[in-house]
Amino acid sequence: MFAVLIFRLWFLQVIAADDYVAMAQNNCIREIREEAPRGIIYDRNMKPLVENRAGLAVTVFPPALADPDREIEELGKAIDVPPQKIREQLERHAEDTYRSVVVNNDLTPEQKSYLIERMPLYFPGVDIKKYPLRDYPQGSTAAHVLGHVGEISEEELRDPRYSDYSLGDEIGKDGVEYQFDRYLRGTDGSREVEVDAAGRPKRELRSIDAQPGNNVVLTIDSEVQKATEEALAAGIDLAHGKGYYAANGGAAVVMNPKDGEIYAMASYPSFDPAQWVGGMSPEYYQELNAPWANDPLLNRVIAGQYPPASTFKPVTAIAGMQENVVTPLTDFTCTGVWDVLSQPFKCWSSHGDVDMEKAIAESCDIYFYNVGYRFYKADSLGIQRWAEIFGLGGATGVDLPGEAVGRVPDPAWKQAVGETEVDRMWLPGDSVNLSIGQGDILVTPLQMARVYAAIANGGRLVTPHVGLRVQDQVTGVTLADLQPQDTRQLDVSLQQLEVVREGLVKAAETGGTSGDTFADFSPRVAGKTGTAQVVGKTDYAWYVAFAPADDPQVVVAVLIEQGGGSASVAAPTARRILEAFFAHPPAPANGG
Amino acid sequence: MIALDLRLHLRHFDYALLAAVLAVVVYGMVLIYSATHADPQLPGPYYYVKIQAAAAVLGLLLIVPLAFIDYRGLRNYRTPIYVGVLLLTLLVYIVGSTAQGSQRWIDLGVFNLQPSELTKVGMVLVLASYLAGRPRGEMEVQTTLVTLAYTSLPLLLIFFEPDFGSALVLLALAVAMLFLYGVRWTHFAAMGVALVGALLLVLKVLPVVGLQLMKPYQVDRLLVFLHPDHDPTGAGYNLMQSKIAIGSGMLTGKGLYQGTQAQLNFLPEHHTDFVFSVLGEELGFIGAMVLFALFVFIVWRGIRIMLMADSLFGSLVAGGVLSMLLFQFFVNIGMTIGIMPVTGITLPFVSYGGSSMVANLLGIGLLESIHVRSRMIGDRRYRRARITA
Repeated sequence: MFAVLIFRLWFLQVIAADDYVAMAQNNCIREIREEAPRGIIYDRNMKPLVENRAGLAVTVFPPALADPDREIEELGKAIDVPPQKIREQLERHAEDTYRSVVVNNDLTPEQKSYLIERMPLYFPGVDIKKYPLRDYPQGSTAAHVLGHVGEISEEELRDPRYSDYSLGDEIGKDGVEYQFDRYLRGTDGSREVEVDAAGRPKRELRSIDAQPGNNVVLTIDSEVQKATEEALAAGIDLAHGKGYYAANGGAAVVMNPKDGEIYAMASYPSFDPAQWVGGMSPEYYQELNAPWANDPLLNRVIAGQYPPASTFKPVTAIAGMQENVVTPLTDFTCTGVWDVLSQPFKCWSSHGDVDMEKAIAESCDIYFYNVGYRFYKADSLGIQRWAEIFGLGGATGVDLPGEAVGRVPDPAWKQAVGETEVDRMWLPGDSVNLSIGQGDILVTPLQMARVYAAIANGGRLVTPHVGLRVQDQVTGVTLADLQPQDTRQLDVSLQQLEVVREGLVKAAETGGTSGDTFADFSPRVAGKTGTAQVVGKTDYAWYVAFAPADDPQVVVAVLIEQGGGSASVAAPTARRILEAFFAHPPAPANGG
Repeated sequence: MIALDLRLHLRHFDYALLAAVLAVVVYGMVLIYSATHADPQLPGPYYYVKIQAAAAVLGLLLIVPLAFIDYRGLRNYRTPIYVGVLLLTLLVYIVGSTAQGSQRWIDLGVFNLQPSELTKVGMVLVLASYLAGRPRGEMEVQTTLVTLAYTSLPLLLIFFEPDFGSALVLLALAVAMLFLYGVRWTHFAAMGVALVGALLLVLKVLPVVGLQLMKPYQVDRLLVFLHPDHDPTGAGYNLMQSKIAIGSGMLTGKGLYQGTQAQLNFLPEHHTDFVFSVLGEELGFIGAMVLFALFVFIVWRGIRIMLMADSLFGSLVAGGVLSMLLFQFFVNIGMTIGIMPVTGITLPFVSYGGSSMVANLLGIGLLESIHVRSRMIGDRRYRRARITA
């Protein structure tokens, strides 16, 4: 009988001992993760756009739950989280045996006092700890630029981008939070604590402090950003006022044409990034995803793709001159209708004799139909070539996730996507449509801003960007320069650019398409309207401009979905933005 | 004369046995200190150790007179002892104090007396006295039945306190003494069948008709050792924590006062029923083997005394005491390592508990008495003294 006991003891204490050592540690060692605050996101004037505040997180350590079902049920009620969600969260972290699982990280003071009173008795295994949360001092300003944060998903964990991340990490899900996550993200600390059977901490075994993430300074100017967002919303109201009731979305971007620094980037409808903090309410989730919400999360400046319509005409003009299809003095006669092809193409007015400058200023379609048709007859893809040279059909390289590249249609593309024999053929009408930015061409507002920046700055293609620099959160020392260095000088004649520029200036003067809006504006503006026809929809209204015309400091692109009138809706919107811009021009970014 | 008698007695005392018992007692007090010194609810770190030491001193003081009286005289006091045992046990029902749902103690002001502990020693004497007077090979059935009848009265009283563990010890004691006396094997087989039948009746049949003889926690405890991992926070919790404690102690232990299971209260009842788990965790396999060695030594001395006893009564008393100690030792340690059900039987001389300490030391006192007596018979000076007297 002694032998039985001795064998059993030998088994427990020698053969299977490792298991029991692990179980003993599991009993009494609790690793408490100390989440590192993320870096602060500043605008160019060091005004914080995203900060951190101290939240309170409820954590659950499943092995210490005395009565899991009851506790989860009652905890759910106490902290206003469906018990099913708590279970799912615990399930997701099932392999993380030493750690407590955060089930809610934004307790209200009432919830906190309720829990603290009851925790030791009714909620063994449940605890409360400090938890840094994102805070948005300027509300939803620049929401699309900033993006939002959230817990890393299982899918994301499998992504090589997140190879050094782990379950429970908070990551940037979109915008700058996503783009610069590796700078913004701090290094979590941890405390290993010995607890007794009642879960009371007895002593600290090991402690590693959390290292806060680094700050990111953006090119965004909060004031210009706010004005741009207000102007865009006002533009939608304006469209409604003018009878375009379908107007329900829009985009506006304000950029430095010399270096691509983005001062403001607004997309309508918008969202509130603070709703992601502490878990999104089901109501808000439904609100975001409702069919009538019109996709508030989409950043239309970089991911909305639209036909550029007349804002594309300067590209056609440059292509015509560069490819020797026309000269600045070439005349075409506009009678309101162009019926060279079997189907008549109309102009929005009847302009008489039109040269290039006038064609741009008054946005004569027939002038450009002729240019497009000449390219077709010459069997030339000159318009497509120059569209691509100016960056259309390709990424601008903006430092934000989810950029769309648009589309520059050519015969090869038609061949590839056409369903019928006729669909696959490149027809004269395709070239003619392309010449006025209609048909199959698609661009993003940011791409158009970049095109106009190149016209404004003498043919340099900039890389639009929102990132300026990275700073150490503690010392403030600049750690990295985020500005791209790859501005490219295009091989384009400066004289020809000057002709286009002159046309754009005239377009914003009395007699030009946006003269009503800009004739009295100081400084002088060079800008182009665009009214894009989209099948089954009210026209989309564009306005792209730069100012001052003789020394461009800023380029603005505005698009209002189903806004109807480009001159009556989009141009006034751009004006409001420019007014705000010149009232307080952003300071040069001389940080470092 | 008295002086010579005293010298003679002291000369034939089994000091080795006493030393081993003392060593176990001290070992136990160290473990009790480790288990309880950090408890902030106690008046002081030595609170339990002091009470245990007092009980040990009382027990040791009782050994001396026990060793000096002629134990053989006790044989004639069967009825008074038996009646005393029954009265004490009954007293619990009348003036007993209740703790954790059972009524086992009599509050004597200075300390709590747990009569069931004394009952065990008393029953050793009662049964030995009865069996020693039974002629061998005759009316064996009657012998067995009377023995069981003697046992069943206090057993049932204790069972309904309820103190399942002590009741079990009494049963084991009776069976062991019948075995030492030498009844036929068929009797044990019959007893086995009866026991299984009784268990089935109590656990399965009677609850169905609405008669719950055992408290639900007792049933849980009994059954849970079969699958302790199934419900680690419920009834299997104690057993699981005990196994974790012992297993994580490994070969050499975590060091005295360093056991996380014991010190952080994961281990339940760590100064009483599960004191062995503290030993296993803090002093490891080696520490456990030291205790085993001491126990084996005590058992060897006990067997030696049983074999050299000068009478059948002496042999039966020695055998009874031995089986009482051994049974508790195995069942307690077996319980902490998950090979025996959790029954609330304490570890003799080690677990905290004054009544149990005194009772077990009384048992040692009886062994000493038998030892002294049997050695003195062979001593010339003793014979000479008798003659001159």
